[in-house]
Amino acid sequence: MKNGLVQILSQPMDRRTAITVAGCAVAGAATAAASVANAINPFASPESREASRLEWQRYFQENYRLMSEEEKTEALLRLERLHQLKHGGRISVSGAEPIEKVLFGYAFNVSKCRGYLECVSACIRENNQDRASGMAYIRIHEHRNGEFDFSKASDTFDHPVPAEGHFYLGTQCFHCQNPPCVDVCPVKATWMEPDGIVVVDYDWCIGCRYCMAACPYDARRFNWQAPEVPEADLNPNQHYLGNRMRQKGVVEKCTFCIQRSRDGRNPACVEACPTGARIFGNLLDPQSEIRWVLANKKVFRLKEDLGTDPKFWYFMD
Amino acid sequence: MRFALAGASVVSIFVLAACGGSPGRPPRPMSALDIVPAPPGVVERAAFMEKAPCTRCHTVPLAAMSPVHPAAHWGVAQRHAPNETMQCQTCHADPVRGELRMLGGAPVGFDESHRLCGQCHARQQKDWAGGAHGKRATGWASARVAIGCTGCHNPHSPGFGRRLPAMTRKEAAGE
Amino acid sequence: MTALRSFLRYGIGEATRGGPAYHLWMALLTLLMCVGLFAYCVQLDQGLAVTGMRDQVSWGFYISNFAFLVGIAAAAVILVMPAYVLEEMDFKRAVLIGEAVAVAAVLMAIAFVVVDVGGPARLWHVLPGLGRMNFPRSMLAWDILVLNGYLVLNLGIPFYLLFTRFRGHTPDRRRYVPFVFLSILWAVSLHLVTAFLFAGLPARPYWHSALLGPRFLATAFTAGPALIILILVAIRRHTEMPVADRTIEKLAMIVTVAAQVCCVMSISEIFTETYRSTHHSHSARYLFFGLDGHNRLVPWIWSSLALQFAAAGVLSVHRWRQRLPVLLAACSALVVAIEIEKGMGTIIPGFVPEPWGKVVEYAPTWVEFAVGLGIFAMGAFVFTVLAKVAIPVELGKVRYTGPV
Repeated sequence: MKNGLVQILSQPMDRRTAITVAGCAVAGAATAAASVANAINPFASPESREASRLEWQRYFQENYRLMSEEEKTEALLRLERLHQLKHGGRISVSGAEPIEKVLFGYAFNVSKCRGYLECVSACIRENNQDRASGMAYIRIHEHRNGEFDFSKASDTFDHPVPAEGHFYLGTQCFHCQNPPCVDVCPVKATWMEPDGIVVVDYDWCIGCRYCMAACPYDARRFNWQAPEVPEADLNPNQHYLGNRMRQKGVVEKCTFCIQRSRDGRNPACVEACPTGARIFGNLLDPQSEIRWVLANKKVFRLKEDLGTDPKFWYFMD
Repeated sequence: MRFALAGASVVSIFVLAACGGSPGRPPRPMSALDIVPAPPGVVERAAFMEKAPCTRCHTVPLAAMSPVHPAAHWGVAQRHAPNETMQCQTCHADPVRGELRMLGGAPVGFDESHRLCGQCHARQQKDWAGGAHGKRATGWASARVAIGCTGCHNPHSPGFGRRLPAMTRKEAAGE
Repeated sequence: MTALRSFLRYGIGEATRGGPAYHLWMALLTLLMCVGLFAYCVQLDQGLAVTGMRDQVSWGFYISNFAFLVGIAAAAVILVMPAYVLEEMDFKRAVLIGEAVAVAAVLMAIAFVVVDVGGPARLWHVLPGLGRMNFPRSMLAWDILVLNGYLVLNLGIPFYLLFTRFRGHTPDRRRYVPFVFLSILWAVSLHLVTAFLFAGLPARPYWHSALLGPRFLATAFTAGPALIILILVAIRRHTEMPVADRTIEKLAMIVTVAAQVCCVMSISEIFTETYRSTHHSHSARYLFFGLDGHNRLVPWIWSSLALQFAAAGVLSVHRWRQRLPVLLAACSALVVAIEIEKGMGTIIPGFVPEPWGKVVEYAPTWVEFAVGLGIFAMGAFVFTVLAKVAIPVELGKVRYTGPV
């Protein structure tokens, strides 16, 4: 018996099991090469060939932060053209740079928020967030009076608000001045801009989600599936680092509506808030409202002990 | 990293300033409390209020009018303060001349609600002037134009109501 | 060059030659790999939504197995050090097997990371030179470097030894011992870096602990050698390669001590998290006792701890440990226990509750299981090929006879 098995094992026999593996590998490579094939396929329509060519160029483009001015312009035009080729509609993708001597900050008035969720709704529309998965950057937590324990608060309430005996407090990306999410990214796909906004290059992100694990504020969202926004609901005024359409498998987040804030406007949530609970402005401008709040109100920040230095303060009347 | 630290210190300065500076240190030449925001511009409303020309009916002092038209102001319910504290004439001039008046009797325009309301709501007035109360009509970068008190609050019933939220949050995790 | 070509030709030939049992085994592994590949295609097509992961629990089965396998890979050093440095002859044969295990484990670990990312096509962004690696800030960048370096070392050293022996020479100690030292340091740092990947996140209090690194090492030095014992016994039974009893005994001793250390660490952790429970203990409470009625992990972690303590207890008695069936049972128990503890017990509770305290539970889907199965099959495939090629050379059965 000793060596039935050994005998069998040592019996020579030429057969290559690995052939199946090779077959599978070829199948995978074929999928990957599909876009190239389409680009050079003489029978494909000119539009689909152009789209394939642009996708190919987009695939090999540099990290946005390291692009030259020309490369940036090219990347922006490419996105506009791609959208036109694929969906017919026109979008404008801005690459507006940070404004000198501006550092954005945000304050949230806990006394004023009443849980109407106008901010959440405006944010989703403004930022072209995936409608299918119900993604939202902002969470409004309904706390019972006398408690300040987030684990006991609800952020999925759907009863008339404000509910008796409750107060409301919103969280979103706090645009930490010392952001842990930026440190951990293995490919420098996320960084803090000079105006303090923490952004993601959706074309550079590899989707490892290390930043999501590193964020203590649940600020980051992942596209678990291809995001969907009906063409009619699409906000065509986009920014490369902001609300342009993301693809499947990348991380996104609040950008203080970079497409608006770099244009001198307030983020959509600030504009939509019916109670004036949200205050936004330039921390470097001593005349700004945000500076007045910081100077005249008793403010606090969440999880300050983690050393993240958020640019998002809470205060009460 | 150097960059991030530099930024961090910038923010910390504000925080310190907001706390009024740390004890034991000599006062700063200009404390954060001295920073007064520029007085805001106010969104105009008076020009759009022509639909209710008060003087069409109110030609004589209220006392002289016969109470024949109690339904004239049917849409107005005073849910602002107890009746013993506030009546129509607390804010509306009598004899009605299509204008408002301060408690001391001085006239005040419809676009100056912050002066009128601020008589009682001094803290809100201060917060509004500074930027912690109310909303601005412009973006952060433009000159400040604030929405006046009556831009958001109905002066007769200034509280915000209870209603359903603008949307239903789906349960997270696709439930 | 002719020698090298001849060596490679021998390797390919040997790997594709064998009896029906060998072919059956390889065909089974290939089938499983195809199942995994199919599931991965589904995942590529529909996105990671087909897994159980969500924004709240953003890492799951894949990263758990990654952490476990990095530990297995690191543990190969347990055999390398005494064999090469201390000239412990008993270990010398076993060491090749250990290194083959390391290579297979590193490959599996890398595969688990690759299937976890949302944009595998953009993975070239991490390549040094081509991409923009965030080194030295990101621990993941470190991990990528360390994993690949470890892979090169563990392929390089055995290749040198086998190739030299294939040519009929004696390996030159001055040429390989420095690399052996390097690989020892590398193995320890490999697993520490992987622990730091998690421990460096204050956002997740369950991981943000100085104990995590040592705990990773202790569990690795339990599960790794335990797995190697199982493999060595299987090899001794099914191939001509002799494995000395002393080798098994020494490995068993290492497993025993490491398992005891693991038990101490578990007790220490449970005490700290429960005696005066704070908000930071919510994850541990969820893991060990359940939180707000959510208790999916509770039976798993207690089974794991029970297996661990039982196996450590049994192994601590010399007479029991020296009986092979007992030893094999204990080793199997430890491998299973540590796979559970490192996967479900370490990675997942770090995300539960999420940063604002809400409990969202995680369970892997069939896609994750199938992809995982495919990767484990790939690891077994790689190990089988490496062992099959290495054993005859090591035994001196194959020699290069052509021109130099």
